[in-house]
Amino acid sequence: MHYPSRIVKKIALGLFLGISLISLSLWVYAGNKTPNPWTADEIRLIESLHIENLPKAPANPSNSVSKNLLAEKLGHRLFFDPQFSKNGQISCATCHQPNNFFTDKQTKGSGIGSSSHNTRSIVGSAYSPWLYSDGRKDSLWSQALSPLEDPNEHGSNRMQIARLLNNDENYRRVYQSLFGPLPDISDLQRFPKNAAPIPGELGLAWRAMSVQDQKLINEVFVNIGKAIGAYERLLIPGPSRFDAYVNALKKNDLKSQSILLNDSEIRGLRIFINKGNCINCHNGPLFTNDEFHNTGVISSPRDLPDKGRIDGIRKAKKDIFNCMGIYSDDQRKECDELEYARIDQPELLGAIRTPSLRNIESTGPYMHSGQIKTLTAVIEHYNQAPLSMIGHNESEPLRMSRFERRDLVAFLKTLEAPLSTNFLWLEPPSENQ
Amino acid sequence: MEFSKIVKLQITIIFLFIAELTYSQGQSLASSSCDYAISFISELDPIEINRMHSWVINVKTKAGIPVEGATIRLEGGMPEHDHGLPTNPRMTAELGSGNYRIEGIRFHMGGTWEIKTTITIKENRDICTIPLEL
Ligand code: HEC
Ligand code: HEC
Repeated sequence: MHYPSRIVKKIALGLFLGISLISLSLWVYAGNKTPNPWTADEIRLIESLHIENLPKAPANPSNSVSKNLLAEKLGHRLFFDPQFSKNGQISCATCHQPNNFFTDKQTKGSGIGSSSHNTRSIVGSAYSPWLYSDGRKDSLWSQALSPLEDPNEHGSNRMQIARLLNNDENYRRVYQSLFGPLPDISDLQRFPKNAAPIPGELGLAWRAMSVQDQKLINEVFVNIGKAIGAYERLLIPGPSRFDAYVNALKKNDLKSQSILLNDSEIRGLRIFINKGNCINCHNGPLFTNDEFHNTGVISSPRDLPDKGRIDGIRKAKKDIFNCMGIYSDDQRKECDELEYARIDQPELLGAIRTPSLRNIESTGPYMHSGQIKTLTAVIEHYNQAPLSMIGHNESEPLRMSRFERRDLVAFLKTLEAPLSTNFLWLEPPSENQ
Repeated sequence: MEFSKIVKLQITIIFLFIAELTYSQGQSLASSSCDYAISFISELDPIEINRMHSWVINVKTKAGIPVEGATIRLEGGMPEHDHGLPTNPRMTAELGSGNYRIEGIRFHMGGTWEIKTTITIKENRDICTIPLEL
């Protein structure tokens, strides 16, 4: 009687030791993946921001030349060419300056007049399903058509643009090899000098044209947009100091980690992924979820509060140049984004598309109308989380100390990096290209 | 502490550990208090944020019989953040054997989500909630 119970005890002891060993090794294993300051959960969050998670820029099914080298070159030329403007002086690069990560350091874009908004960067925009702060455009090619005809930006019109192409031998040759013959628009009765479906004289001239002729011009206009879109797809952010830190973190290389980010920056990163909730919206390798949020940014003194997404999605749905329209190359019209977009929901009122935070130090002033001038002031804004002028502010006051705010700003400054795009694309094309 | 108690504690710790692992994979099945037993398969597994994808939702009675002819509506949001899904998903097909395809799903934040699945059969409507951790 005595004996068996000892066996049982031995077995139990064996079991106990075995289980201890397993759990200990599991613990050590989990512990190993967690070099000092971070927990396993934090590491997962930090790694989710790593630039290496960025896939190759997707081709756009609504743009059949979106991965075509000739189109990229044509787009490159168009992007830097000031001919396509009312005064011959404004190109896309006037506001989207390569040296400033395709922004312009101004409160609002400035072309023929003043843009309605702060100039957003174009870097990485090929990844976003929506463009502009209210997402009123659903592709790069369709977006590119707006500034060309905006009276405050290029102030040009699609008729003038078609003429310029026709008259420039180089453009004509490249265009035709990409898209087929340009229409003959020499008949001034059918094709006036200037026309576009916008209010005013240009609109009158446009409406006087036949529907077929309008369509001919629209096709040229759209193809211009598609070439520009192909070029813009090449603008990709490069690995920053933060990304080097993540590399070191992945390799468990403590020495490099401490060289790459200092204590203040690490504390800032901790706030970014924890207490600050920044990672809720500024997530993924581009530090944006490309969704629409109301963060209670007060409008500039003379502006009405921006209605944001609630208007943006209505415009995108009605746009004849959207993914479902006749100018889209997506034969199957599988336009999930438009198809499943939310409309008319109160949450969308005053909701602005989350911007990327890569190269944020170099791309101020900040927010949709350049309302906030410095990063310190941006963090101040999040700390207070003021009531929205319109709709409802999603974020809540953070109650960060002065030191925490400073750390957070220090972290944001670790996201600077030259683009990973070949420098030839970042300069105006040379004449013989 | 008594010897057997230590063993029990060990085992509990291990179970907690395993539970923790499955939890963090973000694949949550079945549902809570409603008249049906529902489960889903995601086209993306594990589910990633910021990517549009579709689900197949399976609806059975509590007795395990597949529910046919239902209309499914998917809504949801993050209880902690007081906002909904960023998209407006729709049922696009009934696939048979209680399976329904829902397209246009995207999550735009990590954290705790609650997916409200409204199941309508004729006049009958029931809401089953699927908790989800991303
Ligand atoms: C006068 C200044 C100006 C010019 C010229 C200009 N843009 Fe912009 N661009 C802006 C402003 C301002 C915004 C942001 C508007 C908004 O968010 O509502 C913007 C936004 C964009 C965006 C969207 C970025 C995003 O992430 O939402 C793209 C892409 C873009 N412009 C491309 C172009 C192209 C291509 C051209 C030339 C055809 C061009 N822009 C000409 C000022 C300009
Ligand atoms: C609820 C989503 C959300 C959260 C949380 C959030 N942001 Fe933002 N962030 C946005 C949106 C939306 C904008 C643009 C707002 C606008 O233009 O009115 C923005 C703008 C910014 C900008 C300016 C970007 C630019 O180019 O103009 C910075 C910097 C920034 N956020 C940093 C942070 C930091 C740091 C945190 C954490 C303290 C944070 N954000 C938390 C959504 C969010």
